[in-house]
Amino acid sequence: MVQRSRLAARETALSRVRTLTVATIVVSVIATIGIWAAIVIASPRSDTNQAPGLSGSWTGRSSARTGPRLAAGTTWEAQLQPADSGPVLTTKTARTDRT
Amino acid sequence: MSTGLALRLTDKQALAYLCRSSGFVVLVLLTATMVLGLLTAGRLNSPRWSRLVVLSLHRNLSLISVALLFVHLLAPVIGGHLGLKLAYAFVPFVTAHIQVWTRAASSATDLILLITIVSLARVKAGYRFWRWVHMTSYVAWSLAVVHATGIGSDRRPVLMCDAVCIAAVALASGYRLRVRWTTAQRYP
Repeated sequence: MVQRSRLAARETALSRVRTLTVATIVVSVIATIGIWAAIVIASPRSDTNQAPGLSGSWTGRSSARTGPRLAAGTTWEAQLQPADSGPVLTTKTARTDRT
Repeated sequence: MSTGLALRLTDKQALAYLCRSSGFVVLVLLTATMVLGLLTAGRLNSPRWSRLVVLSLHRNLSLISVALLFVHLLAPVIGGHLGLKLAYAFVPFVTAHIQVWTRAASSATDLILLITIVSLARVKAGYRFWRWVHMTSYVAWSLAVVHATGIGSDRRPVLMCDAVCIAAVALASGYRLRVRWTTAQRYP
């Protein structure tokens, strides 16, 4: 009788573990996708261009959502990279008067 | 995907953002694993949370963390984000270019993989060796928190996440130490 009770308790515990494990997997996947979507929505528009006077390409990120065109006086943070996609050399912040 | 979203997002960026989002979740899962490990060591036992439940969850969550850790590692490598290479994820001193935060992450990754492998082969590894390696999980988790704090540009959510994780581990450590102290008092 005691043996059967212990087996039942063990089965209940393992069932709880299974439920919680599956719940963790589901929540983790949903959280990853949810945070990903939140970052995408909140992220400013990015662009890649050839920086004038520089041999490498640069990726720029505006400090505000400015749409496809740069608003006058927008602050841009540029990460300079060599053309072969090597490591970031430096990060620069600049203001532009382009419209 | 809407046109607006498509305008904002390239494949490279999508993978970089996946790296960030999975990083958040990995940190939370590692913290949960740490907390459950500390509760297991503290021999938590209640009708709802028997030792079997806590220990099994600790194991399962650690494996889920490792699986998601690979997503976190591979996303920037596949996307070519900031020129990251696979070696940077595992070798802390591979090159002088990478940031100290990335070095912290690769050290943490190495330790987490070592802990996982030794835990999976615990019987062969022996209890003493397994315990010695398992103790490095404190270092691995701390390095993961340092990595999360220093890397990226979205400071506020990261710091909030860090604070919650540190508080959770501090509480669990307090419980573990209290149990140890009580046991030492009872059985000197």
